[in-house]
Amino acid sequence: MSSAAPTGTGAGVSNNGGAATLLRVQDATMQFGGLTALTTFCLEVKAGDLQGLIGPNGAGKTTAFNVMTGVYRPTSGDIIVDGERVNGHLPHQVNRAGLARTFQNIRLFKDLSALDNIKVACLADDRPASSMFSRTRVNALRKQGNFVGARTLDAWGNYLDWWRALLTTSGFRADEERITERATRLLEVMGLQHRKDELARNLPYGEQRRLEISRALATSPKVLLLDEPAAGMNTREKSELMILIRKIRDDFKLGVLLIEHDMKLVMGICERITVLDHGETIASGTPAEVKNDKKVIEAYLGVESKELQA
Amino acid sequence: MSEFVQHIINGLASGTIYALVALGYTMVYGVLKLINFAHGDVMMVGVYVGYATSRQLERDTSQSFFGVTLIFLVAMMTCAALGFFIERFAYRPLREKPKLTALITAIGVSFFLSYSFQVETVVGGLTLLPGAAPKAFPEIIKPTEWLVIGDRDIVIWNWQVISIGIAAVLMTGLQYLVFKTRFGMAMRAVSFDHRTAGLMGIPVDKVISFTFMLGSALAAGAGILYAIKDTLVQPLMGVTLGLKAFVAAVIGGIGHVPGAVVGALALGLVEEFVVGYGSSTWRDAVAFGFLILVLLVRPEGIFGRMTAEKV
Repeated sequence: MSSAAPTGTGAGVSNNGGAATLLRVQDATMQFGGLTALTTFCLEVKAGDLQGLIGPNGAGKTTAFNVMTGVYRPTSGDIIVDGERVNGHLPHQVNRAGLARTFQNIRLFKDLSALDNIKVACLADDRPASSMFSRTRVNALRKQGNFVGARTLDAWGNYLDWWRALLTTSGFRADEERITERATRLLEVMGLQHRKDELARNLPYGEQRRLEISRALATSPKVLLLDEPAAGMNTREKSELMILIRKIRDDFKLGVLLIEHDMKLVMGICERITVLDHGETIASGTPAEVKNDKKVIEAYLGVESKELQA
Repeated sequence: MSEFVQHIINGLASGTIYALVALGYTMVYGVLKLINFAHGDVMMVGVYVGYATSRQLERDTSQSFFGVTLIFLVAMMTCAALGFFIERFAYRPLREKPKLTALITAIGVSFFLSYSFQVETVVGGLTLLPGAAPKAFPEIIKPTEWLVIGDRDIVIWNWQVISIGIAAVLMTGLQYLVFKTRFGMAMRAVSFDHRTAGLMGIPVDKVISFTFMLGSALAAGAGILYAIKDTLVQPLMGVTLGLKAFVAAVIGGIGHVPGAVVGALALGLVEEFVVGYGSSTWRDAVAFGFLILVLLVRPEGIFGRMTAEKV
């Protein structure tokens, strides 16, 4: 299991041996009525990691994402983001703890402009470091283990913000400008500055995918979860995207976990791969290890092929 | 001609009141896809709070600028709190349930408010609930002629100017809030897809309760403006007025903020012309006939966007 072996299993992981664990999933199980969609799922992502989560259709990959990001509450097990146990928290609280994601089927705010899509996400990180309710202060409380205090401070900050919005104080306008600036920079990172004022629904498919990634980045995540970021792209677009993902990881010093169907791609980019099948983790390790794993080959090609090989 | 202009002015004055109530319907529908049928009754509560506040003040004070402002503020803040509690305890537990459940609950909340207000409850000399008997709203704004053109051809009353003025200020503020601030952006994001909004770090629950508070406060303001004009206060007043405002929101395209205003002004004008040139008996019939007409021609409302259903 990945959580048990942080070092020595592959080049990518051993490089990060000293990095802090940002996301730890411990024995997460998700049941819907009688159906178990995810069984004792374990995962560990450190700063600077680039990991893959693969598996055939219906293997539970997206369920795993949903459990991690607070869409579902795991039936049992723990999700720990940067030391804070977040299972049972609301999605926005999980997001503020440091987990951001994109979606398999693009879920942008299609009626908002590209810039506004990012600005909306900047809301999670909109207060200057000096303010009473700044994220720095909230994070400091989190570090001390005072999670209730952190959430209360965060909530009061929201109420204060709305009053400032209603009264349009000068500080509020300054914040608004700062957010616009930050959002513009994030658009530039993804090479979308020319689309700034266009409605998200009018962007070409590939750019919508990139916009979703920059929206996720706007929440200042510690770990970025990408659900099939390259779906529907051609080979050239895919390789460009992968270079971009690597660059994001290095520039923002994040951990990245991605779901991807294209095996070649995952093998090429990820330093560590976890394979799911029918909700169970059937393999975990470096691309080379996973590629030759008997169970993985079975899951992808079926049992018959084994018989054929034999 | 002058008669026509007079009707336009009267129509706009009553239309702006509809608009303020309609905005509450449309905003709540925008974020929750719920028709909050209790909205008209929240407005009624606002009128009673205004009534009680003005009775506490000296007659001269209640007619002063300070007094009127105080009456509006107390009513609006009480209703904001009421809106918050209704959302928190009646609607939030049903958020993930089928929409119909919340809709029936809304009707229930509406009945609860309008009928409990008919039970006269006095505890230790303090009237908690007013009872069914209609009351006269105090004259907090003394009706005077603001502008007289010709030989009383066109008369504009001060309360008409005041209600158009207050409504214009509140609506401009709302427009600014929704389209220019990041709170408005969060509201629009929640309206578009509240699950994704949550995953992007937006506190969905807080955005929704804030929307309720805002809508309820606007309704209280509208209710007092209405009571100043109509002077009659009774517990069922919210039902008719709320229904009219709902019609206005649907005409404008429910969920669309400027649409609600345009729909309300249109409705106000239509009603005024029916009363002016026809008979007041036909007023409500024509108002709802207007709704039917709009729904036949443009089912999505004037500004609503048609969503094509994929087959």
